[in-house]
Amino acid sequence: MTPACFQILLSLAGEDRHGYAIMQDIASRSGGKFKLGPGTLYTNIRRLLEAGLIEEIDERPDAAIDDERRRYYRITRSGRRAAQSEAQRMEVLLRQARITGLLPRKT
Amino acid sequence: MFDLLLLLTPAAFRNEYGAELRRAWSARRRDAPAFETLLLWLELIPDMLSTAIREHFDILRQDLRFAWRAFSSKPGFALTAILIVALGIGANTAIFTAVDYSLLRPLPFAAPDRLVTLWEDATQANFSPSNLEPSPANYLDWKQLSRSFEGMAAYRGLSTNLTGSGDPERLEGAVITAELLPVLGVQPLLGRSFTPEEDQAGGPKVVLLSHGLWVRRFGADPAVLGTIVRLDGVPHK
Repeated sequence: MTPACFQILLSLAGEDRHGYAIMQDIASRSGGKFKLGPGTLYTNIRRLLEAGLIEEIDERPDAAIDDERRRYYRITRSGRRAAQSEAQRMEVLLRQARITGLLPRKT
Repeated sequence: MFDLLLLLTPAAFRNEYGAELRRAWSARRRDAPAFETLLLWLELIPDMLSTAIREHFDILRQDLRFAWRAFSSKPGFALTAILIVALGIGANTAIFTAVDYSLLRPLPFAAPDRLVTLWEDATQANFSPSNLEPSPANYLDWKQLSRSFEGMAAYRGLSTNLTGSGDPERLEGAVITAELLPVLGVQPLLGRSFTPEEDQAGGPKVVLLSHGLWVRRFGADPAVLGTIVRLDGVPHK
């Protein structure tokens, strides 16, 4: 799974979001270190939709303040499973990095 | 500018996500401080270029996968399709080669745009076709009296039999006047062009070999210069 796909799944794991909200969430969670451009974002959204890992939804979190033309996305059950297994893989790698001294051990 | 970048992406992607991309880009610009505008554009350009490449590549991959599945499920149909495409490409290539040589490429002469072919106009005599090759006498008169041309030369086609060493061979060539090569602005690769003395009736019998014949029949040997070649049984130098 590419870092961009994982970031999008991570962003949608918390709540349903539209494209720009996903971009903002990723940028703020990473402290601005990981920024997705609009092109990269929608290429990866298309791929995730085709893979069935996310879906487009008609519901609006707050219809009163929202632009009705915006498209919202939601993580699917298989998307959540894929993101979980990716996170577990990373967790194992992190543990190994700590054991080998590549990263400082947790106190 | 954004729309131009968007145009680089495939139409299917643009139609599906173009409006969303534009909205996300507008929101990003709106939320960023004014001094970051240039930075945003510098980030956007490579982002959109790489997106366009990725999207086109994805479509190509999907098309190839689809074609492979379709071909493997119906190999007979696939072979027929490949054969038809091959024939189409072959015919296209042949036509283009002919058009390229006859219409597109410049003639292999020094100033092809200043070369013209002279004809006798026989419209008044009601001949058809009305363009006739001039008679030798008319050509000589034109050459002597005309002030409109830098030079004038004549040629006519000739079929002849080459005999001597090796098998006899039928050659398609031309009888030319001495001025032809200077008028065309070309030089023989080896040896010289014809002299005015050789252009006289009863003058020395001389021949200029084509490159193809020189390579095929004489092994591209430079020592061929000055040797005797028999055309229709008559020795030529």
